[in-house]
Amino acid sequence: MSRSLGVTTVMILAALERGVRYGLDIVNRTELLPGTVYTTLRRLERRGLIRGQWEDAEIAERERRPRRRYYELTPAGAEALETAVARFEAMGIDVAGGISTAG
Amino acid sequence: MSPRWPTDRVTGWSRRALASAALIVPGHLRSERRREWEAELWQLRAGDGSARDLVFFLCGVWLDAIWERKEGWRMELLMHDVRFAVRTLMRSPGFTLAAVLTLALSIGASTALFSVVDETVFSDPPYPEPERLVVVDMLFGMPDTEMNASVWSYPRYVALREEVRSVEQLAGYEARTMTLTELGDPAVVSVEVATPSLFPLLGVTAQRGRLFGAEEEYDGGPDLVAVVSESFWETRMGRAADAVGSIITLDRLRFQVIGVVEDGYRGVSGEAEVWIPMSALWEVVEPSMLEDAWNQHFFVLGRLAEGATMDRAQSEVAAYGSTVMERFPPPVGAQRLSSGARLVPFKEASTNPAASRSMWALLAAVILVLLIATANLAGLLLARGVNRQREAAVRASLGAGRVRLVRQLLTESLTLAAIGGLVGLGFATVGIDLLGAWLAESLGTGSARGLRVIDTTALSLDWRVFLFALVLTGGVGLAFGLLPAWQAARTDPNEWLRGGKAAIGSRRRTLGINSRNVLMVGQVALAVVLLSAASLMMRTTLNLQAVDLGYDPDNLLTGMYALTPADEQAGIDPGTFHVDVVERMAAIPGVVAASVGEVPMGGPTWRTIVLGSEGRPELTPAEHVWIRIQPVADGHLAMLGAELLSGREIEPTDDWNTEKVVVLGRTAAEELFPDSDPIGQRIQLSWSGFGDPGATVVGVVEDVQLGQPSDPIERQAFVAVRQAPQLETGILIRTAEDPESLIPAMRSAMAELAPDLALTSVMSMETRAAASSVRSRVLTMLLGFFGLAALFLVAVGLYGTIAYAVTRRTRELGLRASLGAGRASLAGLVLRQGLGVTLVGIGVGVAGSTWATRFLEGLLFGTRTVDPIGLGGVSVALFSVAFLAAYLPARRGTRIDPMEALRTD
Repeated sequence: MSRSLGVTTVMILAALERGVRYGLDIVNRTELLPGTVYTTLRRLERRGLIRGQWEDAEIAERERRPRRRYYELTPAGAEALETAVARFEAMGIDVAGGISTAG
Repeated sequence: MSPRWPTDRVTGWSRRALASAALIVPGHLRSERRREWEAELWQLRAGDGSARDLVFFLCGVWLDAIWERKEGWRMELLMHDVRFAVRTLMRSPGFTLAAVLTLALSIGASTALFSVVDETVFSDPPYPEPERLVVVDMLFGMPDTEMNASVWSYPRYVALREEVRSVEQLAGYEARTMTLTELGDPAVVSVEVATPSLFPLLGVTAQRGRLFGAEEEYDGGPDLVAVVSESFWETRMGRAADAVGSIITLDRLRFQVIGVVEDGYRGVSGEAEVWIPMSALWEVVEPSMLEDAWNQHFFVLGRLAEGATMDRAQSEVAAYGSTVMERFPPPVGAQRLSSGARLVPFKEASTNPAASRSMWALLAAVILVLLIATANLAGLLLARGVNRQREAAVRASLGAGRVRLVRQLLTESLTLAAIGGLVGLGFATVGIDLLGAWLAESLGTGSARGLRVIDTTALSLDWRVFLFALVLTGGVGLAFGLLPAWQAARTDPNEWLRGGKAAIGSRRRTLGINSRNVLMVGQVALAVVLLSAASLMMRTTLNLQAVDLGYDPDNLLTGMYALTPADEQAGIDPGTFHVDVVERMAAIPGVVAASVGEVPMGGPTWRTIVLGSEGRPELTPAEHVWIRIQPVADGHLAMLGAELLSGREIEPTDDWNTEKVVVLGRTAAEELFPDSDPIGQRIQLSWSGFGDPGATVVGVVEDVQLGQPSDPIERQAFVAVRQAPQLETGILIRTAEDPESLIPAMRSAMAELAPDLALTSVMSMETRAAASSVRSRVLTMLLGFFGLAALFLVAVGLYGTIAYAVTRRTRELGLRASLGAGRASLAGLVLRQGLGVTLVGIGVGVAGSTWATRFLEGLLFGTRTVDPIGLGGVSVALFSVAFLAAYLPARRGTRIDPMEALRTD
């Protein structure tokens, strides 16, 4: 599919680039709705722009909580993000401006 | 700051919400998603999540689940179900072909018929704001009876225009035929006579020149101008550039063409070729029309004024109508009538009730056939479903969910229906082109006020028709798919894998057999309804043909012509002229006799009022009766073959200067002279020259059916054409051989006498009668065809059911045979089931048709809607066909070899 990405999708990709890793964290940092975030994550995964994997079991066990699902950009995703950000910049929109980095 | 939620209980609910959302997700993703959501929920709890955040999160979870579900369906549908369905259908090509063809034909026929219904019922007249267009009816009636619609006269129309405010842009129209000369051969053209307000009212424009305008308002001088249609300009004027401004001659009057109307417009009747202003009529053709309020000849249209409601307009118009009798005192004889007026919406006024009813009846019939076909298919699929239960059981045990199986079966049915529907749509396109116009015209295209009922050129597959086809196809697919799918969903795979066919054979009342029986009963019942409707139509057609017309219609050539007032002014005496025509026609070789008079089912039609008679001298104005009258030549009744009951008919001695005579029809004679012999007595008629002292009755003849065979017989009278000539007349010629072979001779004889006079409506009486009965014949033919299709489907279905039953009961039958049961008893065993179903079906069908056939009312003649003989005949026919269809497989059942049978599984 060569449809260009929408703003919310680019925001989520940008968040992932800054090291934000799991769904709720993306929700908090982008201030998007959970419904939007989850369905977009699925779509991005289907398109191969992001990759998801389960957290290391030991870490989760140590902190006595369920394993999280972490997402990261694939090379294709990084490229798509770059193109999209440039496109929006040309229109005068700073897509990733409000997203704070993970930390 | 939003409050934090109370932890444990809410967490419990949230987790349950997650669990239920997970159920929606496709199996293979279920646990994965669930785990992710649990982790997110935990995170939400651990952080400073508020109740609001929780709500949003749960919504997000549900959205996620729904999205996954939708994606799952998309993949499955594309990948598996449809392709699997197509492969399954390909495995039994015979079945698939038969099913597709049956579905395609019935869906196609339904769609084509619906397009005709759609064009009649749903399409709007092609004028701006058609819902505000109204017809204004003038009403008259005898006191204490319902008033009937009549037509308008100029004085009444002018008064209406001045008084009624809530209807504006009133316009008058009338359809006439006039003879066009000096432009090729004399021809008769349809002329629409219109007041100048008609074109603006309807929003019609000119493509060349101009249309009628203020100049054509009546202003004391005739406006001999004309507007022509595109087709007239093309075919008769060769699209000449100088057509506008040229002269055309109609009825010997010279009209200047001032414009060509927009392309495709043929007037309110749909047939007009030329328009002339009404002022031309008033000034030149019949001057008395201008002042005589009782010379009524046209219809009136109007538009509801801005802001006016229908109710207010109705009462205003009705108030005007009730004053007509006082304002415009009627001629002697009509004094006791009451008057009124009413508005009828244009769309409603342009209907032909009998044609509409016929179309709905045909549509219902073809849908009945579709239902029977659907039930047939459902039964067939049920049978196949039983055979495929082993397949289904295996798939179920391998993990295919029940929902999945049902969905796949439904997809199969819907795919089959979709293929049938697609092919059907193709048939419909062809059907609409080939048959749509023919059907619409045979069923009737004219309405009571000369307004066009249906534009047969506009029949097409528009979005409503397409939607109809879509809904029909979907409905059919679901209908015959649900039953087998439900059956599949109810089977327990374990029982199947263990028991095999024997498991189901031992339970005689399994789902399979019962449902099939019900379906069969339904099919038989619907077939009975359809066949009984067909039989009612057939009886109607036969009854119509058997009506005693009072004359001999064979070998009778007919036609009509009309002299013009210009001819009369030029010194031609109509009476003498008509007699000359008769003599000339009688001289043609091959002609037995000729006469002038009214052509049955043709015209012209005249009616007058009986003012008094010696048989009932006290006839008060309230008792004045209408009577149909016609001027005839001598020997007319003998030529017609009408039966003279007493006295004599018109003879050559009845001339313009001798005593006025009249021959009465039997009904008129009995009513006017109930206690005495009419011969020799006088009656007075409101017919010029027949008033006081009146005419002497010289003969009584058996009534002649002057209208359609189904019309009631009217009181009628015959007078001598030399004593009471009219400009127009019909001409009737009794021939020795085929009447239509003498048409050329007839035309040339006419041309010798009057080269500029055109003969119209020239055809044999037989052709005329055929045209009048076309509707009932078309209905009989089509309903009969559908009935036979239904019969065929039922026979096939029954054959299948019995054959299937025999196969299923092979073991049992073999057992019985080995125990000594004879052939007959075995056959009886099998037949009992099938024929029992048929009998129940016939019973239900008979009951159903006594209710259903009431909708044919108005289309029937000579039979009530419930016809016991017809029903009996249909039942016997159906039972016989069923017996035959059941007997063949039953016979096979009796030939079962017991050893083979016992060995089968």
